[in-house]
Amino acid sequence: MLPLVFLGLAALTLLWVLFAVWQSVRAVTVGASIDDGTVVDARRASLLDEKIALLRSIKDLEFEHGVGKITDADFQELDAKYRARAKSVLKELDTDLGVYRERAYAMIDERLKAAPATTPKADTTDVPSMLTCAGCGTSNDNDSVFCKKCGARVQSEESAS
Amino acid sequence: MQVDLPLFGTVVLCALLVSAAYTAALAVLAGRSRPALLKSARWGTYATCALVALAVFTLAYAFQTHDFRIRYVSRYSDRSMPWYYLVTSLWGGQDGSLLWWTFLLSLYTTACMRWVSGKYVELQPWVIATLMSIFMFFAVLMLFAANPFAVNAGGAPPDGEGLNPLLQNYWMIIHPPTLYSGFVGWSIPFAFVVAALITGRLGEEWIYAIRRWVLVAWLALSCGNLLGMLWSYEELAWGGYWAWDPVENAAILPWFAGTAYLHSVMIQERRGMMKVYNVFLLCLTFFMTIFGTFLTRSGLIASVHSFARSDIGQYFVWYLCLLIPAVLGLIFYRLPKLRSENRLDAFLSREVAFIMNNWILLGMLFFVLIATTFPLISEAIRGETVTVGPAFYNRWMIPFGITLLVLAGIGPLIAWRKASGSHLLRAFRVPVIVSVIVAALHIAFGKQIGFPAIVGSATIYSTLTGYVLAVVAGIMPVLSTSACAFVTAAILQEFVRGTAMRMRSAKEPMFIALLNLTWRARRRYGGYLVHLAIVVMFLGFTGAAYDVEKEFALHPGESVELQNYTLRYDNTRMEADANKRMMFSDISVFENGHRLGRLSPAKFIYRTLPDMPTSEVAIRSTLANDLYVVMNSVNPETRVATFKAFVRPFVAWIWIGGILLILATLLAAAPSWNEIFADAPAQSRLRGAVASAAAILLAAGLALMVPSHARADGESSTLHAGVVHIRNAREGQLFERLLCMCGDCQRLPLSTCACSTAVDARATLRERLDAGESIESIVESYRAQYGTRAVAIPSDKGLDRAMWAVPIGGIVLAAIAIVVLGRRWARRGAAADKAATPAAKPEASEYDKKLDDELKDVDGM
Repeated sequence: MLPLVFLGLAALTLLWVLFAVWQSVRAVTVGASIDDGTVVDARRASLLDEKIALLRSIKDLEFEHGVGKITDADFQELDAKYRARAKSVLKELDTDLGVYRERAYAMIDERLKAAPATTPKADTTDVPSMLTCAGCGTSNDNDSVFCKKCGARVQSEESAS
Repeated sequence: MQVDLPLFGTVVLCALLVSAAYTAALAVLAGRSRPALLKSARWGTYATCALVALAVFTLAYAFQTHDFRIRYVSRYSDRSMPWYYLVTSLWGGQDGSLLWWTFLLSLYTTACMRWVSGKYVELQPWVIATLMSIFMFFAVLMLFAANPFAVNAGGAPPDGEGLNPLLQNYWMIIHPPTLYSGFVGWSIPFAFVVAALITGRLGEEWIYAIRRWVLVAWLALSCGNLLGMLWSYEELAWGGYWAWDPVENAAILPWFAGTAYLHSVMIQERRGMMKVYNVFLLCLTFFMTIFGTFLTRSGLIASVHSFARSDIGQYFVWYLCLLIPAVLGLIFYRLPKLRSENRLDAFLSREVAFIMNNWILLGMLFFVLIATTFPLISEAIRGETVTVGPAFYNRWMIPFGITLLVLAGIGPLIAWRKASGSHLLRAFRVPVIVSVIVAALHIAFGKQIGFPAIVGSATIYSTLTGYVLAVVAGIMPVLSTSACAFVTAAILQEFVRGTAMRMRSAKEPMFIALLNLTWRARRRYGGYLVHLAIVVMFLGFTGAAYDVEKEFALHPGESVELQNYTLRYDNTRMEADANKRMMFSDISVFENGHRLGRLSPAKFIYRTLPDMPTSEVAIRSTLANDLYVVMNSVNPETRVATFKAFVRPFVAWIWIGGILLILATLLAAAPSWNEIFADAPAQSRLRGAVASAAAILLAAGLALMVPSHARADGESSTLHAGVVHIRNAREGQLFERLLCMCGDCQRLPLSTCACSTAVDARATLRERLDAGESIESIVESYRAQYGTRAVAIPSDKGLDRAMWAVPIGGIVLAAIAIVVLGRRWARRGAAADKAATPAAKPEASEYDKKLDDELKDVDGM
């Protein structure tokens, strides 16, 4: 019985191997290109790293102060120092982000300029505007049957067909 | 089946090599110029891993169908073996264990590929390339040096040779796979480090990426070592759990490096410094796993574990010669990116405590490494080999162990960045007082309760070093108990203080506060619990100082006293099964007249190895001590049986500590619910499945780890190990230093070897001891007579002295360097603080809120 189990497993695995190889070769030939936009700004990456490290440090400090491992004076001093640095890193990251934001807006503008105007002009001539209720004067949608405020019929028997 | 299975298997291995090479090439291309090829490379990885599985299933099938055409199958199995040992034989020999290693690597790789999908896309290609290079190495090994599918030259024999009966026990089922998982697991972090070096992405990215992988590998390695210790203890008649055998050392070396890394990486996480060091350390850990398996397989150093000596060692040497320059070259190439200005806020800080932790762990690594390879070094330098036996290590590792233990207590007490003077004193006050009180109590009352604070110990050298070591060994018990008390008090204090803080700030009741505290900061508190587990294990180790042993011969019905136990020999009975005859001696155990139970040590005589009966140990385990009984021989007519019994205090604590270690590590590594279920449903189901599978496997592993006395198939795992007559402690100390010169065995110490040469040697030496000769002079004359390799402890002269002097010298120099550098970094940190403008800019205040928001999201370390 057990030999058959291993034989079965071997057979299934062989099929999987062939499938995986096929997928791999297919992916090579079909290959898409990846946009250069994914290039990561190394400086930004290290700023992010520093931010995380600083945040952890501040959390650590609070914890250790809470359990009484460091004096109030030391805590104030170190906390102020780390917070100052953290805030300046956050500021730098935002400034950096500004660059990306502008770049994104520029890309959108380009796309919009390049694409043909496909949206049709709003044609207002044939479409009737709102229906006015004879009873209370409220404007209703032009496919309404009853007034949304007083409930009276807004369409006459003949036009509501 | 007449299908040419051996050929099929070999073809699969060839396909493995090709597939790994193809995938590596794709991955390199993907990394360098065509990122779109990553998808191809990933599929290639899956294919490669599946090919390994295919080879394993094919070999397993061959075992189950007794396909003795295959040399490996005929060598390690026979028709009488049950199916589970047929599965176990997969890793019972050299060739198959290589395939098994590759299989575990493929499991890890597949898991890694699933986990990394969509993440770290810049690192992935190089991770794949590195892993594939490891696959390629093992494929080459298997194809050219140790093909598990090689055929027997003379055709299929009618029956196989069978797995060595010594390995036919449930330990063989669980220990090698677990230990190999521990070794192989480090390949993943290594691949990420190499990827980080190649891509130059040397910030915190790779560290966060591999965090859990490192913990998994470390946990598996710890478990593997623990299982090995358990196996040794339960099966070997000498009653020990660690013999400092080269293969055991090979398994502990990566553990030292890995533990050091776990600590030093936390410094990099907080301060962004020591990058070069951490990269180097992780590579060192991986290197140690390869080096360790090289030592084991090449047979270069005699060991009771060794596979047969073969030329497979050459391949490893080549691989290591390629690996080391490549990695060092990469590190050197990236040095500018790795260099950071090292700065500390203060010398007295947890950063420095962690550096000290690394110092002692790497010191232990260095020391054990040199001692393990010393026989080779000695042979290379002066043409004669020496033997470095357990007596040497046992003596030297005591100060290391105590230092490590004390540091494990100091670390939690010191704050990160800066430990303020008065608060530091306050933190240390209670633990120090507790440790002093415990030491005093131990000294005062130890002897009365049977555990004296100071024990006698003979010197291993007749020099000053030897004397110092002997003194340390002598006071080891009280040092250990007070250090354990110190660490326990320190850790409990941390929990108390943390809970108190939570009760104050979050207004939670005590128990809830404790649970929340531990869960939210589980990295920290899980780590503390791991330290506590180490303390428990150390208590277990300390018990070795109080071992008592006794040999006796009894007629049926006679009793003997040992400590507070009375052992009454009842009867011997014979049983038999398909592959062995068994002689069980039943002993009733009493304490104060109260019957505790029955122990049945046995001798097994395997049909395939009739000349080498094996001893089965009977153990009765309690928290206070283990009663450990071995039956040496029994006279069939008179039924007189000779036994050796040990009372070994606190051994159970080692295993309990081991289980605590596992649980605490799991806690520290546990992902939050968010992490498991935050992603797309498909992935979260996968993770849930993985998590539950892991939990189930773990539970099974734990269950298996508990010593089981009902098992009747344990044997000693060395050929000549057995029960040996030793009359007193002095004899024991002499015999453990001299090796049996019977020639064909792996030269066990005279205190363990049970062959006839050893019996004669012991008789002669006994006479000399009785005549008044000192242990040292007997050792010297034995060394003069048989050469340096006959003595288990190298002398304290010349090159032999270098064996300990070089590592110790290095350790002392390193300590000085740490102090000097630490102070310099602290000064630099202080200077940098002064230079920075203290006034906060007005616009910074808008970022206060932003900072607070960000802080909310950061997990509690």
